[in-house]
Amino acid sequence: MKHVMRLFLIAFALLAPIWAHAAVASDSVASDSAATTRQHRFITPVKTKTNKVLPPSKDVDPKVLEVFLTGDTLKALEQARKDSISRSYTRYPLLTDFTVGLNFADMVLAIAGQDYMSADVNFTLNMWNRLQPVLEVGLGRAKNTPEDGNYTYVGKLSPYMRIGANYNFLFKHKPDYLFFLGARLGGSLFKYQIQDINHHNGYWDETIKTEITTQNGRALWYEAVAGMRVKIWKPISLGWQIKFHGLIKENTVSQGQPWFIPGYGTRRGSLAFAFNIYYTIPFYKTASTQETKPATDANLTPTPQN
Amino acid sequence: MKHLLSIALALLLMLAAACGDSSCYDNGNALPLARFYRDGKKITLSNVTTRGIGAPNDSAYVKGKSLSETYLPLRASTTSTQWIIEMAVTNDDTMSDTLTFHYTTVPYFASAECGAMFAFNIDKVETTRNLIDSVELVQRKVTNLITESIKIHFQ
Repeated sequence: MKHVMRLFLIAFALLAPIWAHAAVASDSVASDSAATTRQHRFITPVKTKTNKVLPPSKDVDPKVLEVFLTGDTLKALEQARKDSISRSYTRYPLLTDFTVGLNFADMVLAIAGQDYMSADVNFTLNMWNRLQPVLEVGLGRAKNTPEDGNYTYVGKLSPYMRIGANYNFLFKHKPDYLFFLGARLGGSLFKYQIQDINHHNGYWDETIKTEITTQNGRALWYEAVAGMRVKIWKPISLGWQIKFHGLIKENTVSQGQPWFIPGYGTRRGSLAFAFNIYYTIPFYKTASTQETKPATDANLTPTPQN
Repeated sequence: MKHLLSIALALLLMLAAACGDSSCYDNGNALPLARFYRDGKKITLSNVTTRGIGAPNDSAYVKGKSLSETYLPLRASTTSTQWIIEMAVTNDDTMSDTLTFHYTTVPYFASAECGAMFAFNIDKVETTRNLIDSVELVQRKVTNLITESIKIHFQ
Protein backbone atom coordinates (compact mmCIF):
# COMPACT_ATOMS: atom_id res chain seq x y z
CA MET A 1 0.00 0.00 0.00
CA LYS A 2 2.87 2.28 0.85
CA HIS A 3 4.37 1.61 -2.57
CA VAL A 4 1.11 2.40 -4.32
CA MET A 5 0.80 5.72 -2.45
CA ARG A 6 4.40 6.62 -3.29
CA LEU A 7 3.83 5.87 -7.01
CA PHE A 8 0.65 7.95 -6.99
CA LEU A 9 2.44 10.93 -5.43
CA ILE A 10 5.29 10.72 -7.93
CA ALA A 11 2.84 10.49 -10.81
CA PHE A 12 0.91 13.50 -9.47
CA ALA A 13 4.10 15.52 -9.04
CA LEU A 14 5.10 14.77 -12.66
CA LEU A 15 1.75 15.25 -14.29
CA ALA A 16 0.39 18.21 -12.30
CA PRO A 17 2.51 20.89 -14.05
CA ILE A 18 1.71 19.40 -17.46
CA TRP A 19 -1.98 19.36 -16.66
CA ALA A 20 -1.83 22.93 -15.34
CA HIS A 21 0.10 24.13 -18.44
CA ALA A 22 -2.36 22.36 -20.75
CA ALA A 23 -5.26 24.05 -18.98
CA VAL A 24 -3.69 27.52 -19.43
CA ALA A 25 -2.83 26.78 -23.08
CA SER A 26 -6.32 25.60 -23.86
CA ASP A 27 -7.70 28.81 -22.32
CA SER A 28 -5.41 31.04 -24.41
CA VAL A 29 -6.10 29.07 -27.59
CA ALA A 30 -9.78 29.42 -26.96
CA SER A 31 -9.55 33.17 -26.38
CA ASP A 32 -7.22 33.92 -29.33
CA SER A 33 -8.54 31.37 -31.74
CA ALA A 34 -9.09 33.95 -34.53
CA ALA A 35 -5.51 35.27 -34.33
CA THR A 36 -3.76 31.92 -34.18
CA THR A 37 -5.46 30.66 -37.31
CA ARG A 38 -3.77 33.46 -39.31
CA GLN A 39 -0.19 32.76 -38.02
CA HIS A 40 1.85 30.05 -39.75
CA ARG A 41 2.89 27.14 -37.62
CA PHE A 42 6.45 26.71 -36.39
CA ILE A 43 7.47 23.15 -37.02
CA THR A 44 10.55 21.76 -35.33
CA PRO A 45 11.34 18.41 -36.86
CA VAL A 46 11.76 15.75 -34.23
CA LYS A 47 12.44 12.07 -34.34
CA THR A 48 9.30 10.21 -33.51
CA LYS A 49 9.30 8.14 -30.35
CA THR A 50 12.42 9.87 -28.90
CA ASN A 51 11.32 13.50 -29.42
CA LYS A 52 14.95 14.31 -30.36
CA VAL A 53 15.37 17.50 -32.46
CA LEU A 54 16.83 16.59 -35.84
CA PRO A 55 19.69 18.66 -37.32
CA PRO A 56 19.46 19.97 -40.91
CA SER A 57 21.58 18.51 -43.68
CA LYS A 58 25.25 19.47 -44.04
CA ASP A 59 26.49 22.62 -45.93
CA VAL A 60 23.74 24.78 -44.52
CA ASP A 61 24.86 28.26 -43.60
CA PRO A 62 25.15 28.73 -39.79
CA LYS A 63 22.89 31.80 -39.95
CA VAL A 64 20.25 29.74 -41.73
CA LEU A 65 20.78 27.04 -39.17
CA GLU A 66 20.09 29.52 -36.36
CA VAL A 67 16.79 30.45 -37.97
CA PHE A 68 16.08 26.78 -38.53
CA LEU A 69 16.59 26.00 -34.87
CA THR A 70 14.14 28.68 -33.82
CA GLY A 71 11.58 26.46 -35.44
CA ASP A 72 10.71 28.81 -38.31
CA THR A 73 11.56 26.35 -41.05
CA LEU A 74 9.78 28.29 -43.81
CA LYS A 75 11.88 31.38 -43.11
CA ALA A 76 15.04 29.26 -43.00
CA LEU A 77 14.23 27.70 -46.35
CA GLU A 78 13.65 31.11 -47.94
CA GLN A 79 16.92 32.46 -46.51
CA ALA A 80 18.83 29.44 -47.76
CA ARG A 81 17.44 29.97 -51.26
CA LYS A 82 18.54 33.64 -51.31
CA ASP A 83 21.97 32.70 -49.97
CA SER A 84 22.52 30.08 -52.65
CA ILE A 85 21.53 32.48 -55.43
CA SER A 86 23.95 35.17 -54.23
CA ARG A 87 26.87 32.73 -54.11
CA SER A 88 26.17 31.15 -57.44
CA TYR A 89 28.99 32.21 -59.86
CA THR A 90 31.73 30.49 -61.74
CA ARG A 91 34.96 29.86 -59.88
CA TYR A 92 37.99 29.90 -62.21
CA PRO A 93 41.15 27.87 -61.66
CA LEU A 94 44.49 29.27 -60.50
CA LEU A 95 45.75 29.36 -64.08
CA THR A 96 42.74 30.66 -65.96
CA ASP A 97 44.47 31.90 -69.12
CA PHE A 98 47.58 33.52 -70.56
CA THR A 99 47.42 36.59 -72.77
CA VAL A 100 49.93 38.21 -75.10
CA GLY A 101 49.15 41.80 -76.08
CA LEU A 102 50.54 44.56 -78.26
CA ASN A 103 50.21 48.19 -77.21
CA PHE A 104 49.72 50.08 -80.47
CA ALA A 105 48.43 53.44 -79.19
CA ASP A 106 51.62 55.37 -79.92
CA MET A 107 51.99 53.70 -83.33
CA VAL A 108 48.66 55.20 -84.37
CA LEU A 109 49.51 58.57 -82.84
CA ALA A 110 52.95 58.55 -84.53
CA ILE A 111 51.24 58.05 -87.90
CA ALA A 112 49.02 61.01 -86.98
CA GLY A 113 52.12 63.14 -86.36
CA GLN A 114 53.19 62.55 -82.76
CA ASP A 115 56.92 63.17 -82.30
CA TYR A 116 57.59 60.18 -80.06
CA MET A 117 56.54 56.56 -79.83
CA SER A 118 56.64 53.67 -77.38
CA ALA A 119 55.39 50.23 -78.34
CA ASP A 120 55.40 47.18 -76.13
CA VAL A 121 54.46 43.55 -76.01
CA ASN A 122 52.76 42.57 -72.77
CA PHE A 123 52.30 39.18 -71.13
CA THR A 124 49.45 38.63 -68.66
CA LEU A 125 48.75 35.56 -66.56
CA ASN A 126 45.14 35.42 -65.41
CA MET A 127 44.90 33.77 -61.97
CA TRP A 128 41.43 32.82 -60.70
CA ASN A 129 40.14 35.43 -63.19
CA ARG A 130 41.00 37.98 -60.49
CA LEU A 131 44.71 38.62 -60.08
CA GLN A 132 46.79 39.21 -63.20
CA PRO A 133 50.56 39.58 -63.00
CA VAL A 134 51.77 41.59 -66.02
CA LEU A 135 55.13 41.96 -67.75
CA GLU A 136 55.51 44.58 -70.48
CA VAL A 137 58.61 44.86 -72.67
CA GLY A 138 59.02 47.48 -75.35
CA LEU A 139 61.02 50.01 -77.32
CA GLY A 140 60.67 53.77 -77.57
CA ARG A 141 62.09 56.56 -79.72
CA ALA A 142 61.56 60.28 -80.31
CA LYS A 143 62.41 63.01 -82.78
CA ASN A 144 61.06 66.45 -82.15
CA THR A 145 61.80 69.81 -83.75
CA PRO A 146 59.36 72.31 -82.23
CA GLU A 147 58.21 75.07 -84.57
CA ASP A 148 59.09 77.80 -82.07
CA GLY A 149 62.07 75.93 -80.63
CA ASN A 150 65.79 76.23 -81.30
CA TYR A 151 66.72 72.51 -81.29
CA THR A 152 65.99 69.00 -82.51
CA TYR A 153 65.52 66.41 -79.77
CA VAL A 154 66.54 62.89 -80.79
CA GLY A 155 65.68 60.02 -78.47
CA LYS A 156 67.42 56.95 -79.80
CA LEU A 157 65.55 53.63 -80.01
CA SER A 158 65.87 52.30 -76.44
CA PRO A 159 64.30 49.50 -74.42
CA TYR A 160 61.99 49.69 -71.41
CA MET A 161 60.18 47.28 -69.13
CA ARG A 162 57.22 47.40 -66.78
CA ILE A 163 56.18 44.87 -64.19
CA GLY A 164 53.02 44.84 -62.11
CA ALA A 165 49.58 43.34 -61.66
CA ASN A 166 45.89 43.97 -62.32
CA TYR A 167 42.86 43.13 -60.23
CA ASN A 168 39.84 42.17 -62.33
CA PHE A 169 36.60 43.47 -60.85
CA LEU A 170 34.53 41.32 -63.23
CA PHE A 171 35.84 38.07 -61.75
CA LYS A 172 32.31 36.69 -61.47
CA HIS A 173 31.90 36.93 -65.23
CA LYS A 174 33.62 35.24 -68.14
CA PRO A 175 37.30 36.16 -68.68
CA ASP A 176 36.20 37.52 -72.08
CA TYR A 177 35.32 40.80 -70.37
CA LEU A 178 37.65 42.48 -67.91
CA PHE A 179 37.53 45.72 -66.00
CA PHE A 180 40.61 46.13 -63.88
CA LEU A 181 42.73 48.41 -61.76
CA GLY A 182 46.45 47.82 -61.57
CA ALA A 183 49.87 49.09 -60.67
CA ARG A 184 53.17 49.02 -62.54
CA LEU A 185 56.80 49.71 -61.88
CA GLY A 186 58.63 50.78 -65.02
CA GLY A 187 62.26 51.31 -65.91
CA SER A 188 64.33 52.30 -68.92
CA LEU A 189 67.96 52.75 -69.95
CA PHE A 190 68.06 55.10 -72.90
CA LYS A 191 70.17 57.49 -74.97
CA TYR A 192 69.32 60.90 -76.35
CA GLN A 193 70.94 63.89 -77.94
CA ILE A 194 70.01 67.47 -78.84
CA GLN A 195 70.93 68.47 -82.36
CA ASP A 196 70.85 71.74 -84.30
CA ILE A 197 70.88 74.03 -81.26
CA ASN A 198 70.68 77.59 -82.47
CA HIS A 199 71.43 79.78 -79.46
CA HIS A 200 70.82 83.53 -79.72
CA ASN A 201 71.62 86.13 -77.07
CA GLY A 202 69.81 89.38 -77.81
CA TYR A 203 71.88 91.69 -75.64
CA TRP A 204 75.26 90.52 -76.93
CA ASP A 205 73.75 90.00 -80.36
CA GLU A 206 75.49 86.70 -80.91
CA THR A 207 74.16 83.45 -82.36
CA ILE A 208 75.98 80.19 -81.75
CA LYS A 209 75.22 76.79 -83.25
CA THR A 210 76.03 73.77 -81.16
CA GLU A 211 74.73 70.36 -80.09
CA ILE A 212 74.58 68.13 -77.05
CA THR A 213 76.19 64.82 -77.86
CA THR A 214 74.74 61.47 -76.77
CA GLN A 215 73.60 61.42 -73.15
CA ASN A 216 72.79 58.31 -71.14
CA GLY A 217 69.56 58.38 -69.16
CA ARG A 218 68.10 56.06 -66.55
CA ALA A 219 64.59 56.35 -65.16
CA LEU A 220 62.32 54.47 -62.78
CA TRP A 221 58.62 55.27 -62.57
CA TYR A 222 55.27 54.09 -61.22
CA GLU A 223 51.92 53.76 -62.93
CA ALA A 224 48.38 53.40 -61.60
CA VAL A 225 46.31 51.74 -64.30
CA ALA A 226 42.59 51.45 -65.03
CA GLY A 227 41.49 49.51 -68.05
CA MET A 228 39.04 47.32 -69.90
CA ARG A 229 39.38 44.31 -72.22
CA VAL A 230 36.68 42.93 -74.47
CA LYS A 231 36.68 39.76 -76.57
CA ILE A 232 36.27 40.54 -80.26
CA TRP A 233 36.66 37.22 -82.04
CA LYS A 234 37.66 33.82 -80.65
CA PRO A 235 41.05 34.35 -78.89
CA ILE A 236 41.36 37.98 -80.03
CA SER A 237 40.37 40.85 -77.78
CA LEU A 238 40.87 44.61 -77.65
CA GLY A 239 41.38 46.85 -74.65
CA TRP A 240 42.35 50.27 -73.46
CA GLN A 241 44.14 51.55 -70.40
CA ILE A 242 44.41 54.96 -68.81
CA LYS A 243 47.55 55.46 -66.74
CA PHE A 244 48.45 57.96 -64.06
CA HIS A 245 52.22 57.98 -63.72
CA GLY A 246 55.12 59.73 -62.05
CA LEU A 247 58.88 59.49 -61.94
CA ILE A 248 60.38 57.83 -58.87
CA LYS A 249 64.03 58.27 -59.73
CA GLU A 250 66.23 59.32 -62.63
CA ASN A 251 69.91 60.02 -63.06
CA THR A 252 71.10 63.61 -63.10
CA VAL A 253 72.46 64.72 -66.44
CA SER A 254 74.57 67.90 -66.29
CA GLN A 255 73.47 69.04 -69.75
CA GLY A 256 69.76 68.83 -69.02
CA GLN A 257 67.16 66.19 -68.26
CA PRO A 258 65.56 64.22 -71.12
CA TRP A 259 62.29 65.34 -72.65
CA PHE A 260 61.22 61.81 -73.58
CA ILE A 261 61.61 58.57 -71.61
CA PRO A 262 60.84 55.34 -73.50
CA GLY A 263 57.77 53.65 -72.01
CA TYR A 264 56.94 56.70 -69.88
CA GLY A 265 56.41 59.34 -72.54
CA THR A 266 57.23 63.02 -72.23
CA ARG A 267 57.84 64.71 -68.91
CA ARG A 268 54.80 66.96 -69.43
CA GLY A 269 51.65 65.82 -67.66
CA SER A 270 51.10 62.69 -65.67
CA LEU A 271 48.64 60.85 -67.86
CA ALA A 272 49.20 58.22 -70.54
CA PHE A 273 46.97 55.95 -72.61
CA ALA A 274 47.40 52.50 -74.05
CA PHE A 275 45.39 50.58 -76.61
CA ASN A 276 46.08 46.89 -76.90
CA ILE A 277 45.23 43.98 -79.11
CA TYR A 278 45.39 40.66 -77.25
CA TYR A 279 45.69 36.97 -78.04
CA THR A 280 44.49 34.74 -75.20
CA ILE A 281 45.40 31.10 -74.58
CA PRO A 282 42.90 29.54 -72.12
CA PHE A 283 44.21 26.94 -69.68
CA TYR A 284 40.82 25.31 -69.06
CA LYS A 285 38.55 23.55 -71.51
CA THR A 286 35.32 24.61 -69.89
CA ALA A 287 34.93 26.76 -66.86
CA SER A 288 34.95 24.57 -63.78
CA THR A 289 31.77 25.51 -62.08
CA GLN A 290 31.52 24.99 -58.37
CA GLU A 291 28.15 26.55 -58.01
CA THR A 292 26.40 26.35 -54.71
CA LYS A 293 23.33 24.22 -55.12
CA PRO A 294 20.18 26.25 -54.89
CA ALA A 295 18.30 25.51 -51.70
CA THR A 296 15.50 23.06 -52.09
CA ASP A 297 13.22 21.34 -49.67
CA ALA A 298 15.34 18.28 -50.26
CA ASN A 299 18.64 19.64 -49.03
CA LEU A 300 17.08 21.35 -46.05
CA THR A 301 15.26 18.21 -45.05
CA PRO A 302 16.61 16.96 -41.77
CA THR A 303 18.70 13.84 -41.81
CA PRO A 304 17.58 11.35 -39.25
CA GLN A 305 20.20 10.34 -36.75
CA ASN A 306 20.05 7.28 -34.65
CA MET B 1 27.78 49.96 -59.12
CA LYS B 2 28.79 52.26 -56.29
CA HIS B 3 32.39 51.13 -56.72
CA LEU B 4 32.33 51.73 -60.48
CA LEU B 5 31.01 55.26 -59.90
CA SER B 6 33.80 55.97 -57.41
CA ILE B 7 36.39 54.66 -59.86
CA ALA B 8 34.98 56.81 -62.67
CA LEU B 9 35.12 59.86 -60.38
CA ALA B 10 38.72 59.08 -59.42
CA LEU B 11 39.64 58.79 -63.10
CA LEU B 12 38.10 62.19 -63.82
CA LEU B 13 40.07 63.73 -60.96
CA MET B 14 43.23 62.12 -62.32
CA LEU B 15 42.48 63.60 -65.75
CA ALA B 16 42.04 67.04 -64.25
CA ALA B 17 45.26 66.76 -62.27
CA ALA B 18 47.26 65.35 -65.12
CA CYS B 19 46.87 68.14 -67.65
CA GLY B 20 50.25 69.76 -68.23
CA ASP B 21 50.87 72.97 -70.13
CA SER B 22 53.44 73.95 -72.68
CA SER B 23 54.64 77.32 -71.32
CA CYS B 24 58.18 78.19 -70.25
CA TYR B 25 58.01 79.70 -66.77
CA ASP B 26 61.78 80.17 -66.46
CA ASN B 27 64.17 82.28 -68.53
CA GLY B 28 64.81 81.51 -72.17
CA ASN B 29 68.54 82.02 -71.51
CA ALA B 30 70.92 81.19 -68.69
CA LEU B 31 71.23 84.50 -66.82
CA PRO B 32 73.11 85.11 -63.58
CA LEU B 33 70.94 87.04 -61.15
CA ALA B 34 72.79 89.53 -58.91
CA ARG B 35 71.17 90.99 -55.78
CA PHE B 36 72.33 94.08 -53.91
CA TYR B 37 73.21 94.07 -50.19
CA ARG B 38 74.54 96.48 -47.60
CA ASP B 39 75.51 95.31 -44.12
CA GLY B 40 74.00 91.92 -44.96
CA LYS B 41 70.56 93.33 -45.81
CA LYS B 42 68.91 93.60 -49.19
CA ILE B 43 68.85 97.17 -50.49
CA THR B 44 67.38 99.08 -53.42
CA LEU B 45 69.65 101.48 -55.26
CA SER B 46 68.37 104.38 -57.34
CA ASN B 47 69.68 105.62 -60.69
CA VAL B 48 71.52 102.42 -61.53
CA THR B 49 72.85 101.73 -65.00
CA THR B 50 74.38 98.40 -66.05
CA ARG B 51 76.38 97.94 -69.22
CA GLY B 52 78.30 95.01 -70.68
CA ILE B 53 81.78 95.86 -71.96
CA GLY B 54 81.89 95.05 -75.68
CA ALA B 55 78.12 95.06 -76.14
CA PRO B 56 76.91 96.25 -79.59
CA ASN B 57 76.76 100.06 -79.68
CA ASP B 58 77.90 100.12 -76.05
CA SER B 59 74.25 99.80 -75.14
CA ALA B 60 73.06 99.74 -71.55
CA TYR B 61 71.19 96.71 -70.25
CA VAL B 62 69.48 98.79 -67.54
CA LYS B 63 69.50 102.61 -67.61
CA GLY B 64 68.86 104.89 -64.61
CA LYS B 65 66.48 102.64 -62.76
CA SER B 66 65.90 101.86 -59.11
CA LEU B 67 67.03 98.29 -58.59
CA SER B 68 67.46 95.73 -55.85
CA GLU B 69 68.59 93.03 -58.31
CA THR B 70 69.63 92.70 -61.92
CA TYR B 71 70.55 90.09 -64.50
CA LEU B 72 74.08 90.23 -65.88
CA PRO B 73 73.99 88.14 -69.11
CA LEU B 74 77.23 86.35 -69.96
CA ARG B 75 78.68 85.86 -73.44
CA ALA B 76 78.62 82.24 -74.57
CA SER B 77 81.34 82.81 -77.18
CA THR B 78 84.01 83.83 -74.63
CA THR B 79 85.25 82.62 -71.25
CA SER B 80 84.94 85.96 -69.46
CA THR B 81 82.52 88.87 -69.48
CA GLN B 82 82.83 92.31 -67.91
CA TRP B 83 79.98 94.39 -66.60
CA ILE B 84 79.95 98.01 -65.44
CA ILE B 85 77.58 98.97 -62.64
CA GLU B 86 77.14 102.73 -62.58
CA MET B 87 75.30 104.79 -60.00
CA ALA B 88 74.51 108.54 -59.82
CA VAL B 89 76.05 109.87 -56.60
CA THR B 90 74.98 113.51 -57.16
CA ASN B 91 73.09 115.18 -60.02
CA ASP B 92 76.28 115.58 -62.07
CA ASP B 93 78.51 112.91 -60.67
CA THR B 94 78.42 109.16 -61.14
CA MET B 95 80.53 106.36 -59.70
CA SER B 96 81.00 102.92 -61.19
CA ASP B 97 82.54 99.52 -60.62
CA THR B 98 83.53 96.79 -63.06
CA LEU B 99 82.64 93.16 -62.42
CA THR B 100 84.60 90.46 -64.27
CA PHE B 101 83.17 86.96 -64.58
CA HIS B 102 85.43 84.03 -65.48
CA TYR B 103 83.53 80.91 -66.51
CA THR B 104 83.18 77.90 -68.76
CA THR B 105 80.19 77.31 -71.02
CA VAL B 106 78.31 74.10 -71.64
CA PRO B 107 75.38 73.46 -74.01
CA TYR B 108 72.28 72.85 -71.89
CA PHE B 109 68.79 71.50 -72.64
CA ALA B 110 66.44 73.25 -70.23
CA SER B 111 63.12 71.76 -71.33
CA ALA B 112 60.99 71.25 -74.41
CA GLU B 113 59.25 74.55 -73.67
CA CYS B 114 62.25 76.72 -72.74
CA GLY B 115 64.55 75.14 -75.33
CA ALA B 116 68.30 74.65 -75.52
CA MET B 117 70.87 77.24 -74.44
CA PHE B 118 74.29 77.65 -72.86
CA ALA B 119 74.73 77.11 -69.14
CA PHE B 120 77.70 78.68 -67.34
CA ASN B 121 79.96 77.36 -64.60
CA ILE B 122 81.37 80.49 -62.93
CA ASP B 123 84.92 79.98 -61.70
CA LYS B 124 85.64 83.43 -60.32
CA VAL B 125 84.14 86.93 -60.03
CA GLU B 126 86.41 89.97 -59.64
CA THR B 127 85.40 93.56 -58.89
CA THR B 128 86.75 97.05 -58.47
CA ARG B 129 85.93 98.69 -55.14
CA ASN B 130 84.55 102.19 -55.71
CA LEU B 131 80.98 101.48 -54.71
CA ILE B 132 81.18 97.75 -54.17
CA ASP B 133 82.71 96.26 -51.04
CA SER B 134 82.73 92.60 -52.15
CA VAL B 135 81.09 90.05 -54.39
CA GLU B 136 79.88 86.69 -53.11
CA LEU B 137 79.31 83.76 -55.45
CA VAL B 138 76.17 81.98 -54.29
CA GLN B 139 75.70 79.48 -57.12
CA ARG B 140 78.42 78.49 -59.53
CA LYS B 141 76.19 76.85 -62.12
CA VAL B 142 73.98 79.29 -63.96
CA THR B 143 70.99 77.89 -65.86
CA ASN B 144 67.69 79.43 -66.91
CA LEU B 145 66.23 78.94 -63.41
CA ILE B 146 65.37 82.18 -61.66
CA THR B 147 67.72 81.87 -58.67
CA GLU B 148 70.26 84.19 -57.10
CA SER B 149 73.77 83.58 -58.47
CA ILE B 150 75.78 86.36 -56.84
CA LYS B 151 75.47 88.80 -53.93
CA ILE B 152 76.96 92.25 -54.47
CA HIS B 153 77.76 93.89 -51.12
CA PHE B 154 77.90 97.70 -51.39
CA GLN B 155 79.94 99.99 -49.12
